[in-house]
Amino acid sequence: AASTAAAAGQDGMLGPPRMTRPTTLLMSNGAFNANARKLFHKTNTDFTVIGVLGAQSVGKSTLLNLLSAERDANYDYYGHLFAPDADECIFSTRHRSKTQQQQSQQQPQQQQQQSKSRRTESLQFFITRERFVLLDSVSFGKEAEEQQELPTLSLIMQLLSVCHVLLLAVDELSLEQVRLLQTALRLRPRSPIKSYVPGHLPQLMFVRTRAQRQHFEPAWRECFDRQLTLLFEASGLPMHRGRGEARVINSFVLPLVRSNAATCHHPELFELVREFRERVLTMQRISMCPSHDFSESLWFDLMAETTRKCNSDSQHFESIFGDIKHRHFESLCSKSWRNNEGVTSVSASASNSWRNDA
Amino acid sequence: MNYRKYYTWQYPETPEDVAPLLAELKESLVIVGVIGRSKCTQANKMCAFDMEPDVPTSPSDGQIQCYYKPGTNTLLLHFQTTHDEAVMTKLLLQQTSLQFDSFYEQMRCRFVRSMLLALHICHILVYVETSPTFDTSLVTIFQLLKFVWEQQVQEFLPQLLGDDMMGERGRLCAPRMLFLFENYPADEEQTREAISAYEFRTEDSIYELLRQHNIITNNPNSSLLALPNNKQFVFFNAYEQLRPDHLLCAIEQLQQTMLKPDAKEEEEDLEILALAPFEGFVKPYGEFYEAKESEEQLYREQHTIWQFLQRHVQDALDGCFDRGSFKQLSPFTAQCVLMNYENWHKESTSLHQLLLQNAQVEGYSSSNVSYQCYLSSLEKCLNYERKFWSQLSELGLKKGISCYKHAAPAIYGNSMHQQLLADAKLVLEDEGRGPYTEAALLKLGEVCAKFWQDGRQQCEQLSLRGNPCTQPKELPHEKHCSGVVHISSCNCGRTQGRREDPFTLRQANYEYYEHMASMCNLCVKVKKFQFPIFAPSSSEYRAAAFEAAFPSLLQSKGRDEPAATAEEQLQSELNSQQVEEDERKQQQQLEAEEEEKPQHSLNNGCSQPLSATYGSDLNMSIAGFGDSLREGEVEDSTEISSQMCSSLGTQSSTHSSQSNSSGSELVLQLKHDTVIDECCESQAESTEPPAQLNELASTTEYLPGLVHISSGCELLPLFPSWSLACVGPSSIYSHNTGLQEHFQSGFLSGANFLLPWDVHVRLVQPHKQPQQSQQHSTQQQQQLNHKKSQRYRKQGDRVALKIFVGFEYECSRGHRFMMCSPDRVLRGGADIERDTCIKVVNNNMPLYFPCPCRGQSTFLAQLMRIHVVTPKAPVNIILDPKVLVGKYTFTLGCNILPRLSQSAYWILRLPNVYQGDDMLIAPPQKLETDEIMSGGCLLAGMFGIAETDAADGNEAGQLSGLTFTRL
Repeated sequence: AASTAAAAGQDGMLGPPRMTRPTTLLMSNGAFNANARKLFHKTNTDFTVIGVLGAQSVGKSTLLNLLSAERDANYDYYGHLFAPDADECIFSTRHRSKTQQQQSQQQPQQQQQQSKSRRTESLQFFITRERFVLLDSVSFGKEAEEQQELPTLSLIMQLLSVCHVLLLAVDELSLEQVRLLQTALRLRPRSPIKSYVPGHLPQLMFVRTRAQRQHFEPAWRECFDRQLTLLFEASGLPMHRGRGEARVINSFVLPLVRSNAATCHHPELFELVREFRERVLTMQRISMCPSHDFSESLWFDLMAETTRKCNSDSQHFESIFGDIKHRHFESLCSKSWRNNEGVTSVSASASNSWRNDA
Repeated sequence: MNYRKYYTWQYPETPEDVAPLLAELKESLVIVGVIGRSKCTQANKMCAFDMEPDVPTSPSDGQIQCYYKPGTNTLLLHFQTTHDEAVMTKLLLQQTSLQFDSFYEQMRCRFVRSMLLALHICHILVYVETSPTFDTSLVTIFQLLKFVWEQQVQEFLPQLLGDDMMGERGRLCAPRMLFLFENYPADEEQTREAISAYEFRTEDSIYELLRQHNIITNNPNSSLLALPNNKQFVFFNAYEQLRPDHLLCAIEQLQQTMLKPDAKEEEEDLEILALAPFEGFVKPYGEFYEAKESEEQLYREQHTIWQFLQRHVQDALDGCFDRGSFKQLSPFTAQCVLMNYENWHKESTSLHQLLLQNAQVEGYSSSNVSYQCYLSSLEKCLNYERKFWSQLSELGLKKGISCYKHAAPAIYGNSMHQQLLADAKLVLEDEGRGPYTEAALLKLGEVCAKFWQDGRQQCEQLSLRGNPCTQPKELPHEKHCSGVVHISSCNCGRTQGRREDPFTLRQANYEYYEHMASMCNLCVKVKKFQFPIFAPSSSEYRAAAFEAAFPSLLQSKGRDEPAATAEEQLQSELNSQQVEEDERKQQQQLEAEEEEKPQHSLNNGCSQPLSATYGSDLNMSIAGFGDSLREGEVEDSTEISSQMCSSLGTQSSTHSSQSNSSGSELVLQLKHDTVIDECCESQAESTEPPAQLNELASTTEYLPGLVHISSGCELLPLFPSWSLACVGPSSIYSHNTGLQEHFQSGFLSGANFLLPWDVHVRLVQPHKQPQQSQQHSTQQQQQLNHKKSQRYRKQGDRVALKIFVGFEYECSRGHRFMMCSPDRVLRGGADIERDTCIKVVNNNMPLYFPCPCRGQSTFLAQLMRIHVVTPKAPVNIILDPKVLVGKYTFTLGCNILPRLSQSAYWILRLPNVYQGDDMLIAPPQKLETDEIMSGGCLLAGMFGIAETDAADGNEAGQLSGLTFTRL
């Protein structure tokens, strides 16, 4: 991270250096990169944090790459950002370069593949020229060493807490994902810092990535929106755009592309990207800290605090969850499952203990 | 693959043309189940097998499609479950509103049922996965399956199926689980090594996960499922493009064709081509041809799901199915049942009925306990998340409650309770998350409220100052007590004391001052003006009509019984007062002729006993105090008063005065003789029987609040809320030093000065001036001239009076200060100018003013005392204060306005708490600087002046009392 900053900046300009490549915010071992603070502006309060969530290889990084810079109409989006050998990705979509490096270093194949299997190892960020803070995270149901879904939980909790705008990249509707998001919503810290708006939630935008022809059909889109409404309505996440009659679910369909050209079901890539950028960047920004001097570096502090809190919280809840799950199966095993002895005894002891306090 | 080389039908009906084919296979039929995830609208997971249903069906949960390809020994069963996106979507769209948790449970439960059936009727189960990675949530599914299978299914199946059971445990074997990943990760290399390595890696992680959770065990009989030991069980579809969009392909082809530039080949080429025997001759076969023979291509051809599956099918046919499935060779006899189609179909039908169909029939009940449990409460059994959430809420509730109890003091009020509850709720929400938090919060509220009400509740009766009583509610307590202590001075202002927050008007306006009077060595000495108070005629008296609104008054009544009786003793004094009032009524007409009275209730009372007496044993000089001292003595003893009457009472006329427009000079005009005569007569008549009293003032009902101008004279208060006392001679005040601490304690420095007020009075003799009067006045004037009073100058008949006035404010912390204008606190002598007092006297003074003391700005000082130092002139200052608070204008409540004796220091103490007939008027919470009067005000024009009647005692007072001039 420090090298990035050094490489990018030193222009002698005021404020932080411009970023040319992303910097790790969270290492894969959970450590927080406090050095990244110098990349944030101390006084600028006009910034938007955009995070992305989604399953593995659903195209999260690609979405952020589209947002990373404004490009003109002749830009070869496919060649530079989408193609398997895309070369101008801010957030790397394939770890080809890494693989090649490792190959050149003659590293054991096993290790190389290990690193390949992890797409985005940690939480990375990139600040655009327009001061959009892009957060790229690990995937939803990442294959974890621990079989539980909770390691990613901490990250989702975090993104829910610190983002202004959250893109949810989906290529299918997975109940597991919704459940995970729901859990993170419930378990996320209420107010990590003092001036934080309790119950702040980011604006949600659903992006159907890798969409096929049929996904552009109005009937399908209607059906998709309806499903999203059903699944997410109760969560309380702000996920609509427009007002009154025009109020619709904020969803976007991004096709699986094979070239820059338009096809029968979608316009040319430049047009798609333009529309996507417009939709994301003009989204209403709900501030998580209403004070007027909530600057980038203050946001960074919030991020650090949230990380700490989310980690400890998720660990705490995880242990309870594991415990409960274990006990549940135990109780089923021990033949007493029918009258649910285990359950009642737990609750009874809990309720008794506070009665005894009196 | 050849199209239509297989049969497909919907389970359970077997088409007639297939049945014989299957029957031919006899015992060598292997059943393969295909279950898992799919994204397409047909929910078809058979694409990798290059199969699809012959007629498009709408996918639905629990639907089973059978596929049989002749010559393969395998019957493929395609299960449609809630893991198919199409099925799930369909179910989702059926909902109108969604409770996600329960929906998720429901979906999972349905899948578990389908999976259970599949595990029972198949030899091999292929789990199809659309994402390139293993879905870890499947482990949970397997865990749940295991428990259902072990705890429920194994219990009821033998009972329900009896002898018809397939195999030992109602299943064909420990089914072998294979995993088919439809999509190979796009960024992995598509080489043989890479694919194999990837497959191996996935296999390893799956195996480890399943072992870790005891889903596969060493014992094939007790294992839910089996993984082959030495055979590949993970297959990645790396080459085939499944479910291509045919329409799109066609369109693209068309586009390409249409946009294809004309093939204009080089002329050379054309020449060469012309030599060719037919078109296309010597054109290369292309990549495909070259790669055909390569190892890679060979692998590609062999790497198909059919090949993959066939290896496992062969295992089953060979009977070495289970032997290879477990790492160690187990001592248990492996059990693998191969059945012919007919038998299998029979068995599977009954299992299908048991495991799937009955569960979907609503209200289906079985006598078998465990089966009934499986049917009705499977969801509940599987649901450990619910437990997790409720556990969190319970934990939170526990913490919240202990937080509340920990922080709760012995006794506390509602606001404290709310605060504690809010804190406890935060603590609860810190831990308690999820759907049960609402209920937990409610519960917390209940528990805490109960805890609070269980002997920890405060009485919380609000004091008159708005502070709640802090006594425990349970224990009956004589007196409310808010614990708030004010510092307040006594009537005379000399002694400050701690005053408990008043709960009754009597406490606030009377008892405290009585109490202080007994402790103050000045208060005991001063003689006070007696205000008219209620005198009960019988023991049954009550508050007039307002008691419902003021229960606290009733309380105080009960307690104050002795005080009330004490007041009865004052009745005699009161009687005379009433008589005078009576008399006053008769006089009213006359007075109306003489001068217009500004207010109807301030009618000229007569001979109110002015009991202001100065105790001469004060430690102060009495020089120049002669007159007033004597006057005080006069009033003390009736003998002297009669004497005075003979000497001074002969002064037959009072000076009626009218405001003179010329500056501050006032004209006092002497009155006519006849008036006096009349008055004398009426006075003679006034010794009436007390029967007449009842008409005037009720003796059975008293005024619950303070006297105000519209309260009438029929109702009198139980006790005086005001106090008027002469605290010493005028010399007690020195304008050089201001009020000294030993005399008036608690004054803020600089704010302890009275304001000098010069009043010019011209005495005007009436035409028919009685000789006596003239004689007397000259005599008096001579006397006065002789004494050369400091505060009284006579120039002809003009008299210049110097009065000192102070409007004293007191805050509840005991700070006292004078004001030099309605919006300014007096700060030292420099503030005092010639016309300063005019501002104070001629303006409405605010009842409340922010105390300049440091600390919170919310401390409001209240106008509590009015200090008057009367001049040494033959005039009496008359006080008629009117306090406008809300809709009420409160007055002293006496018919004869008090006349202040000459050359004396008088202090009028105002009520501490104002109460109208039925409403308490609380001081404002905060005063805005621009609305300083919003809390109430003392109306301007409270001072009057009248020429001295030396004997304005009982006998002669009525002669002059009616004529005073409002200053």
